[in-house]
Amino acid sequence: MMILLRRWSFYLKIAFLDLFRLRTSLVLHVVIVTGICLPILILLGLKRGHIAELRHELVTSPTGRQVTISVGGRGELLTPAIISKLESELGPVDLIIPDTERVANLSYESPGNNRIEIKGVTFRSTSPGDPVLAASDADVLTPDASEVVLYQSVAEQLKATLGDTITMVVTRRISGKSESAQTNLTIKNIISSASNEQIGYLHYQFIDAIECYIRGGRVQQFDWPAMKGSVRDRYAEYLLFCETSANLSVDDMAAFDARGFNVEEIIDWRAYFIHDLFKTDALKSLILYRVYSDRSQSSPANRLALSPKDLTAISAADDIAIPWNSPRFLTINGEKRPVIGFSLPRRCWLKSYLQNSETACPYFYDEIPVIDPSVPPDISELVLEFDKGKSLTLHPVHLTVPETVLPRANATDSEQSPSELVDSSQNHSEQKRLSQNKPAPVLVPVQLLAHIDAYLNGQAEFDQKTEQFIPVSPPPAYTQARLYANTIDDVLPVVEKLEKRHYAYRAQTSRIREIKGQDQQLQDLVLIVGVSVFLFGIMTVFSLFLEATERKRGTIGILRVMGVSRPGVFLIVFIRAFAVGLLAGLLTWGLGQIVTMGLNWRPDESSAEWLKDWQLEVSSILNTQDVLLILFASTICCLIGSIIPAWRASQRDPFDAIADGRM
Amino acid sequence: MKNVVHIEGLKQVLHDKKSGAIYEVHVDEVVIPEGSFTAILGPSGCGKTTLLTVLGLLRAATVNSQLKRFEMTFPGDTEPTDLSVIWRKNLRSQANAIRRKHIGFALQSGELLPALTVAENIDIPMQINGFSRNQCRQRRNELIEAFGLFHSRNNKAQSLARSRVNRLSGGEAQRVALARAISHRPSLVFVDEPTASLNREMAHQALTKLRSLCQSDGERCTVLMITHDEELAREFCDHIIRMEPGKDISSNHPFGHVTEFSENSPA
Repeated sequence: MMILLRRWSFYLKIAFLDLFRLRTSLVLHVVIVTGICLPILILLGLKRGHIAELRHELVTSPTGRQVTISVGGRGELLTPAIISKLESELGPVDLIIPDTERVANLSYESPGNNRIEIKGVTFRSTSPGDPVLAASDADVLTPDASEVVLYQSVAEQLKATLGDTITMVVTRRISGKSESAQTNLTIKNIISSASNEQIGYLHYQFIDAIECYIRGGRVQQFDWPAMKGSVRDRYAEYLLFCETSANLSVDDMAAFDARGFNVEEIIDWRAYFIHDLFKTDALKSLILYRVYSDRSQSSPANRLALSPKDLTAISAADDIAIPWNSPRFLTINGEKRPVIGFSLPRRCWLKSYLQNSETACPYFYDEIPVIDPSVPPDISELVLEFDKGKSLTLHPVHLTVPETVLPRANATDSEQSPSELVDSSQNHSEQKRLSQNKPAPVLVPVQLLAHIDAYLNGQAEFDQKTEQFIPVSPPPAYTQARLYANTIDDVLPVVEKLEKRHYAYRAQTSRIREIKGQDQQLQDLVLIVGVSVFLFGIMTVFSLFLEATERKRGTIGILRVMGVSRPGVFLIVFIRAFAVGLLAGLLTWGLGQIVTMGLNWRPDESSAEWLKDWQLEVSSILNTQDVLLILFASTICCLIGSIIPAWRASQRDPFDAIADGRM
Repeated sequence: MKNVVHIEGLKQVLHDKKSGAIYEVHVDEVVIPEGSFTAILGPSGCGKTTLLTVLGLLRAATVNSQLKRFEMTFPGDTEPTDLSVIWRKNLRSQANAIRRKHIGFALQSGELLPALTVAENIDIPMQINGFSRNQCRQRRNELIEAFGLFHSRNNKAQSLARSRVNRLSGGEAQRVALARAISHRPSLVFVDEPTASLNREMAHQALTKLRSLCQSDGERCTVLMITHDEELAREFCDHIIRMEPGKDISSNHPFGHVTEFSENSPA
């Protein structure tokens, strides 16, 4: 094995010594192969230069690799979950930024205590890595920080500079009611702009927060409260009262049925805890129905949100509807009490059937009323705790007939009731104990009980500061987003995937396709020329090496006589070809660099006068990939071209070769 | 004494592709004993070099059917190697291996590789046979010393080892060729007109050195030398093979054949 290794290393040595010590033919061969390869490299450089010029605008513009996605084909909005899914599934995506904007006012109090305010500044969403801001070196915003990037015109109007703290005021108008909130922002960057556009950039989560506030929600992050009464009151069922003389007709029943309501007459009123509120003889003159839908009974999420007027409008009878949710055991001033939601309009005929016409809460109030006859007259506030750490202030209504007795819940009642007393914090035995102790119930507005129900069912939040129930903020949903592919070449595959998912989009696809088409055409052209030149190169190398091995037949003969095998001779010629190819490739690279520099040179101030008008319309880019390709091609060209000469040299008769070599 | 080469019934036909002429070489029987110094004498064109190419395993016998025997016995062999079988079966790599290991050549005009130095030329057979670098250096120095491959510079003898061969004189080149032929200690050395480019004194010195190196203690190298110089042959060789040109009347082909194989007592 060692002998074999030494023998093959000797072949290598012979090949290289012969090559470098007898340089004349080597130089000639290298120059010829370089002459073949250099035009291909220059052609590749020109092609890349041309395509780079076409792509220049797209590559330098932040919108080049931008795809604006609109809502999906079935109208689905872009939620954070969908955006995250698209980011992971679309492939070469750099980032997706929800494309939202909101208008707010800005103010700045300068060191001289001059307060400057500007109105109607449009804030656009951004995110770290946003190419739009990166293009202005302003990609500096971080999530969860109160930072802003402003256009120069806005900063100039405010007379604020980089690092100053400005105040942003957001205003919401819902149902004719206007509220404002504010927060401080630090100016992290100022973008130079020629126009007077009032534009600023905020992190998109900040814009989400503004959106939440404007829609009436609460923004805990900035301590912005929810809009009062913004949560809807929803009910499991409605109680419908009719006088016997004006009962529901068959048509009324059909009308309810047509609207999807079930109407059931209630025989035993006691089940609804309001039995004792009515005069004894009232029961003979009144008929009570419960109106509900299957959905409203099945899930707290499907409760009904009709106003009583809407319900009574369905029938022709002079009926009165009361929204109804099951009473709950809640803690009032530290004592567990049954809380019944019972509200009636200020004027209605049903009040004449009550034992005390004051024992019904109004529908509209500023302070939450509570009817509890047991409260002494000097008590003006009660605390209702409906969850751990969550409490409301109730204002007792002092009745003019204080001896009024409210219905008492008992165990029998609650067992018979279709809507049992609910206490989320107590188990059944505790409820039973409380029922047996017969704590006096209290009446509260039906909305309050509905809101507490919604809170306990996870459909509302509670703002302890304002003592308001507020809707649970839905996850943000966007109508469009800016998607940035990794490169402009990735835009087309990304767009294809978006099309398959039926998303509407806007991108510079036609321009990119046009450039790609030109790139492909030039690529084909270079390929055709390259292959032709390559084949010509193989033929040239073949003839060169055939001539060289003929010339060196004496040497080959001597080696064969000395004992070099035929494969050994083949290898020696092959190594020589490899070296020529490699050197030619390297020379091509060097010359290619010089030619490229020459093609890309443009005259400047220091250039000679006669050169100043010199303007070449072409540019060239020498790519590492192309250089490697040429290096590979020149080596392969030489190796292929030398196969037959090497084989012929190895097959020569050694003595003939020596004899011929002498001539 | 063993016979290194024993060939019998050789008929070698040569086709000259350029002129279209056909030549033949006939050998009835040639036996070369181990350690002998044998000369092949004969006029130009009688087939001396052709015989040498066959004996040196460079070419196969063209008419194998008439080859009665072609055997070679190398040191350590108990039985001779039948080369007629090797050629008949076209075992070129086997013939190449024998030639590489056991046979050395010193050709007519030196035939050195011009790209290499003297030392590198001498090293060729050793490197092909896998000698280590030290072995090569030791043997090379021994041969440079033995063949007097020095030149004088500033009144000092300097080795020619690092000189490129294209700067050597004809005599120096011939001595390098002789040194190269025996560098890997072959059993059989073929020398084709070694004294052609040397004056008588230099030729004398070269052959004396070759003979002494081939037949020194521990070396039993057999030399087969082609020469036109009968005087030199008589002076140095133990055996002389005479070849004469002729013409085959039946086929009208020129041919050469061995006419005499005689013993000689060197001076």
